[in-house]
Amino acid sequence: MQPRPGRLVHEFTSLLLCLILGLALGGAVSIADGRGWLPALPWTRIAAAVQHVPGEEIRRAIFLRLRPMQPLLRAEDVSANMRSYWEAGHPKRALKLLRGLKDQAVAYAVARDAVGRFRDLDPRFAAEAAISIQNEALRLATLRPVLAEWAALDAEGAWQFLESLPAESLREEMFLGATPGLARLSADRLSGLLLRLRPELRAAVVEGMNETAWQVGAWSNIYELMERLNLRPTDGVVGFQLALHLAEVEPGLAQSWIEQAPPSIARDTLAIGYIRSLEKSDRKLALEWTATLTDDGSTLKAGECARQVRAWLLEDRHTAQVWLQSDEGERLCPLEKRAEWFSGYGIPLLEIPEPSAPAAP
Amino acid sequence: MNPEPKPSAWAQIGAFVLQLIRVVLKCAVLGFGLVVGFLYLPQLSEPPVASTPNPEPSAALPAVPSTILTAIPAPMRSAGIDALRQVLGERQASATKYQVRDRCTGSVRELPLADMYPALGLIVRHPMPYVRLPLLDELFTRWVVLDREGALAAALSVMSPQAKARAVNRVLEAWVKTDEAAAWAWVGQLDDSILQSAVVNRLLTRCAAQAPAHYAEWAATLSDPFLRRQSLDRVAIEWARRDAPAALAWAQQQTEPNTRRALLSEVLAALSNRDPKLVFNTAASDPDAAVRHDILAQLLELHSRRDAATLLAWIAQTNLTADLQQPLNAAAKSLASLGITKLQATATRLPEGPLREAFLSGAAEAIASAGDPQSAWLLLQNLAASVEKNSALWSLGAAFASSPTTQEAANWLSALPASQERDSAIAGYASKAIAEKPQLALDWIAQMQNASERSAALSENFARWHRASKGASMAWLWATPRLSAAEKKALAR
Repeated sequence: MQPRPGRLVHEFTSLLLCLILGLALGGAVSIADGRGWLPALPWTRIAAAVQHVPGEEIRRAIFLRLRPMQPLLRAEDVSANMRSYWEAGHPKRALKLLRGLKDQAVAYAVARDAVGRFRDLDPRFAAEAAISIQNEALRLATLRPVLAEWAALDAEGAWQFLESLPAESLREEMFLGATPGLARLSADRLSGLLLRLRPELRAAVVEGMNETAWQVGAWSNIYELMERLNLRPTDGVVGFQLALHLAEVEPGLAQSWIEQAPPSIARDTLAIGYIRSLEKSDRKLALEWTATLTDDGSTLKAGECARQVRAWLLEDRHTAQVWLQSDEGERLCPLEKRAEWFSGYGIPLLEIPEPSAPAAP
Repeated sequence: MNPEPKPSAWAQIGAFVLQLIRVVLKCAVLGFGLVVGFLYLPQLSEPPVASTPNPEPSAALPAVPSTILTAIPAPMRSAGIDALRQVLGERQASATKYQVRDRCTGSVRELPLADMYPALGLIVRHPMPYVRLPLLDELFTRWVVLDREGALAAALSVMSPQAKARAVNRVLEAWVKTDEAAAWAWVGQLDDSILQSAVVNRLLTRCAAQAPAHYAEWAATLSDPFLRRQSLDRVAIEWARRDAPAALAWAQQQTEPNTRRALLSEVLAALSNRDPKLVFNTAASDPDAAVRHDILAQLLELHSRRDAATLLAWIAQTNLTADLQQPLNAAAKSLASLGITKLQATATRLPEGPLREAFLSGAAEAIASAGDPQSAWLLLQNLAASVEKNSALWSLGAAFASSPTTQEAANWLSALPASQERDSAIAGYASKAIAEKPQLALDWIAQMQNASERSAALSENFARWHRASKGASMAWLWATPRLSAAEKKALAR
């Protein structure tokens, strides 16, 4: 049998094609898998697989060879492994390694390590590492500082990350430190994200923004945001922070909101914010406003009154004493509370001179 | 035509074996390729920055005019952009953020105008904000020298608000040097209120010191109340740096009380380094109660850390009005490290009554918090009842709870007469002791005189113990003779 001409070339070419195909397939599978080789496999998984190998001697030999790899599962080794993936430009592999960890204590330590290196990383990578922690409390505690710093440096990036999360996984804690940064985004961008939240969470986030919006210096933006979310200051969901800060720069506007609001808890919330700003300069007026709180039956009004009188006594005892003994004090401060101030704190009753009578003719 | 001779059986077997060898060989090569590809190919591949799995999503690439990118043939592009591309595109392992920044800064400073947009694209895509933001500063500092209009347009196209503000600020900082009026006119017409706020604050830092009265007038006309206050604050700070007496006079003339207070706070804080006595006297005699109380308290507290001697002298020599309790209380807390002899000597210079009591109570509170309740008690024991003394007693109680022996705390608490003061001391003691000695803490709380405060302290501290140890807390509750049946039921609920 004579070999056909070019037969060897044909054979060699087909072998080469096989090799290229194999390389391509292997590489693709490896990349798609997103994980490396053995270092990414938890020790427990390797050990379980080896148990199925027949033959005691063979198993022992395999274990002897694999033993040096066991420490990889210690947190610091996994962290180092993750870092090497990150540094080699494979963040997805690093995250896959983290998510594949069965031991949650190790996973938490590794995620904390990644978060601790926030300033040398892509913030998204640190946030993804934090979010891979299974325990919710630990996850949120780890994620919160990441989001706070990220939003402070790059509100848009933090916003996009939050947008990428499923709505049901968004928690109030995620926004706690991030609101000062996120408040720098336009109402248009923010409202889209906030509309995905539960109404009560939405209101809490907006109230957090009210707390810091005055530092960002854009009342128009926060007002537009509330308009878009259909949140009114008199709804009872946002109010305290808004009234507190707006009363500082635009007291007339804050006051008009309170006056327009019907008697309700919402009105009281607004009013207390306004009172906290007012009390710095005018205790008497603040106490007058306290008396307008509608929450007659509960401890809110009495507690607010007591807090203010105590602060006044610390500030200017004499003036506070005079007020407590005056008709105004009697009218605005509950009798039993006043008795407590006088007896409990050893405040003596002052001898307030009567207005002098006109001289006898 | 003769039919082909039928191959022999051996020949057929040989052909089959050859075929088999070929298949096996191909399979082996394929398998080898698979294994090598799986293990080594990803490591060999050099991922370009643009294809990094987590590209920076925030700083979207601004619309790059295609003419810029296509009209310049690659060889004409500067070495700077290539160097920038190389450093920013390197794998993260090779350098820290500082090294990356340092290596890029030189390249950015020499970029020609044609490379500005590509450089902006590279920088805003970099995933690390601590690299990206300083490089943006460098880029726009360079860009504005070459083409201000283009730099401003590019800066406005950056998506991230913080990055945008930094970029715009670089342009405006250069612009105000050449045409201040035009730059401010541009700022005035900005419709992005967030950007406007960031820009105004930064520009005022540059410009307000040169013409403070002008910028104060301008800031007062701003319609956004938050921006207005922020701008006025900034003017006050800059004005006080340049001419503190004039700034003080301006702040004092303000008619809106909250604005006046905020500006005075800034100006007085700035002036307190240079002339603390003037500042203290000004604040102490201000007609606004909030300035006399809150702002003076802050100023005294701040100054006590810098120069306690001046502060003590001022307290001793000044005829202080009776309503300055709060500032004296705050100052005493900061001066506690001077020791009780000095503090007592200063206190004797104060008029008897609220001022002296506030001062000694503040000092006692700080000394107790520092872990010396016995010395703190020496300052407090002869004082009349007051709210300040109650606060200090709370701190003393907490400090006694940390004493090595429980007897010391018991002796002290037992020696106090049943009163609001003793209640405060017990509440302070219990707040600390509940973690280590819960039964003892609750036994003391049960002896509080004021019913409502006792009830509140009981429920709060019992709940803390219950969370830590359910069985022990319930056993104590049912066994203790100190609580009534109603109180026990309420707590059990």
